[in-house]
Amino acid sequence: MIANPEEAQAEAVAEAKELAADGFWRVAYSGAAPTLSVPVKNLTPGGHNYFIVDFQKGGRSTGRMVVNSKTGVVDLATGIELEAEELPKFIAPTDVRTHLTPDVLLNDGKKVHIPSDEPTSVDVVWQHCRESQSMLLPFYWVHWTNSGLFLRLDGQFFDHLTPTDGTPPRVA
Amino acid sequence: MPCTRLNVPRVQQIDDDSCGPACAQMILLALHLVRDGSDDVQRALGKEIQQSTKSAKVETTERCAKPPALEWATHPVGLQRTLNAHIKPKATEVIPSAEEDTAAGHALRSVKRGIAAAALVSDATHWIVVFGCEHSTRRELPTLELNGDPVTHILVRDPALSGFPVRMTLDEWTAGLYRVKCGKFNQKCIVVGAR
Repeated sequence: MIANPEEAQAEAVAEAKELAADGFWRVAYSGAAPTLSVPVKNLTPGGHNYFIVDFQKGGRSTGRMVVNSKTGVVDLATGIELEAEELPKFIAPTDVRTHLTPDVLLNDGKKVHIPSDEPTSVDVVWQHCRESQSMLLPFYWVHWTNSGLFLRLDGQFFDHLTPTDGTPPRVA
Repeated sequence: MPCTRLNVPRVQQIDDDSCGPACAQMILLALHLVRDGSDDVQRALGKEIQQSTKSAKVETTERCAKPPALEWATHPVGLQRTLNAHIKPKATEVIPSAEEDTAAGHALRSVKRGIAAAALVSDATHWIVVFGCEHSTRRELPTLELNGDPVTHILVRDPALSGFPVRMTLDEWTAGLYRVKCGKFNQKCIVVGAR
């Protein structure tokens, strides 16, 4: 059982050490340090919550892991293969507000005007859905009193999620 | 640590419906059978898959016991026929399995034969490429003996994640793999690869 981001990060670091010793993963994890460890609530029925840990070197994201909060196991790990590469953007929780401009362009091309007041809450969530098919790409679920938005970790906005597990669409 | 690993270049899918063509592109690029990882090649493979599906006369919409119907953006048969058109006749097959572990075995057998395999995940809406496996001894993990190798992790490339390599535990493989819920492949996990 992993209780907090620090424990998740420690497990990820141990996994990174193993991967850095393998030529295939060396570019991603050798010399890379964990910079973010974020808890994610899994909304998929029967799904487990997890932590997502981002590794960087030279200011670039080079590796990323999903740590299962129930088992403590690194269930998923990804990384770059060439030194010049960078993984898709990882918006830090502290940077979410900077993405909330008055007019937000959704992934489907629609433009929405968001409330000018501060969000009432921001949760990090993931669900098996068409908008993200990997736990490595969770969402910030931004709530206001009468509305909400999903901001995917790579910067794409959605006003709803379309689950692929037979449950009804989740409206922000 | 690696049990088997093919050199498969990464490719990003160009839109939501192009995971199948992107997977075909990665599999064929590894065999040097398509020009490059460009969007043009991916679009061309997308057209080939649609034409192959049409000529195979398979249903791309399959009614299930309860709605919604299953809509194939990339039908397994179309994907298999397209791969075979580039590799050689009968190089790959659509391999249905009742169990996720068996599907892992089929995918990795294909890898051992030099052809990366495509696997169906996420409610039949997504394809990924299996290109290898690893055996980690750092901590106790579920392990399978597949084709003579102890396996703790499956290596995949997900075109929705820009094709970057992903190392997944067997538990995650089981959770991610999709059992078709209706039609010809009802209750089966699907891998397209060499037997």
